[in-house]
Amino acid sequence: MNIVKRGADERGKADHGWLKTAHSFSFANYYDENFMGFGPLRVINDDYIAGGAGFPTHPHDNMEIVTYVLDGALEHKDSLGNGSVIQAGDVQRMTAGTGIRHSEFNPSKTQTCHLLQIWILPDKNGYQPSYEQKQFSREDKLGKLRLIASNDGRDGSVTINQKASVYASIFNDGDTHSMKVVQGHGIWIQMAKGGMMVNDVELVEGDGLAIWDEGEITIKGKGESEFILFDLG
Amino acid sequence: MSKQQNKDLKTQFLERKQEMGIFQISFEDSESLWVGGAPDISTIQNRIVFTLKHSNAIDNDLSYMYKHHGEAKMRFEILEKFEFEPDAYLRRGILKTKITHWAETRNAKIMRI
Repeated sequence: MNIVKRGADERGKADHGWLKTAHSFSFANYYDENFMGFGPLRVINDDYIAGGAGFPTHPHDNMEIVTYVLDGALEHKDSLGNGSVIQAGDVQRMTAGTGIRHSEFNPSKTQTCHLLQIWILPDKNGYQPSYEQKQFSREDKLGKLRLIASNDGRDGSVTINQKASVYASIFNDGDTHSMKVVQGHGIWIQMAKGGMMVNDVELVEGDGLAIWDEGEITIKGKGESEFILFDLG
Repeated sequence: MSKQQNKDLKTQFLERKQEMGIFQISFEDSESLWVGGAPDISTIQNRIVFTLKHSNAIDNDLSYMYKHHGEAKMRFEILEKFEFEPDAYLRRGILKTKITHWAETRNAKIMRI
């Protein structure tokens, strides 16, 4: 089994005043050909959006975009006519497919919105654009892996057009979870808040961890932490 | 060309592996240099030449040089090719970053397409 850590400080960072962001993989002004993604996982942006600020209308195509709000809220409007406010704990999935335009703004004047924006390559191009949003409670994620996105929408997760299962979790000190890594699958763990141990690797906020080839991992909480785990394949 | 041949060629074109890229344009006997980027590097040269020939809807300075130096003295060179990004937002971001880098490296003007 292979384990490679992507340290929080190694990420591409940008401070636009209204937006402070860290890119785990090449994005916008950050380009590193060694970090173009992990399998179909193409983008993880750790965004802090100032109150009242956001992304004006812009286009997307052929991408599964999952937004996971950690703190605050994000207002979304798109060319399909959808309009909603994504609150902390909400997961939004947007299939860009043949083309969609959307805007994203922090509706609060004072509170910063902290979110992870995740872009996953679809299994094929040309899907019909669509949108979905679901709420996952804190209790639902405490001490366990809660499925939030999958290719079949099982267990109440949002549906993405790719063979991937995405889990969100909140671990307290000492919470432990072991899982087998299936041959041919890749696992990516993204620390959203706090720190934890994965086998003998210590992760802190913002760190990422890539794991592949057959084996077993044990995740152990170290203080309160929140993380996203991707099972790709 | 038969209808079937035409259809096959169209299918081949649509199924080819598209690459993004950065290019430069220069003219003999001139130090002026332009750098640009394209989501499909394999077709951009034809597109630019066609536009220069038939309209002014392209970089004004480049259009002026083309008219005064002629196509025979124009040089098109690919500087870099890279994997196609399926998303428009990613394409735009990566092209902008790479065009800026190459324009600075070559002390070139950025071509407006």
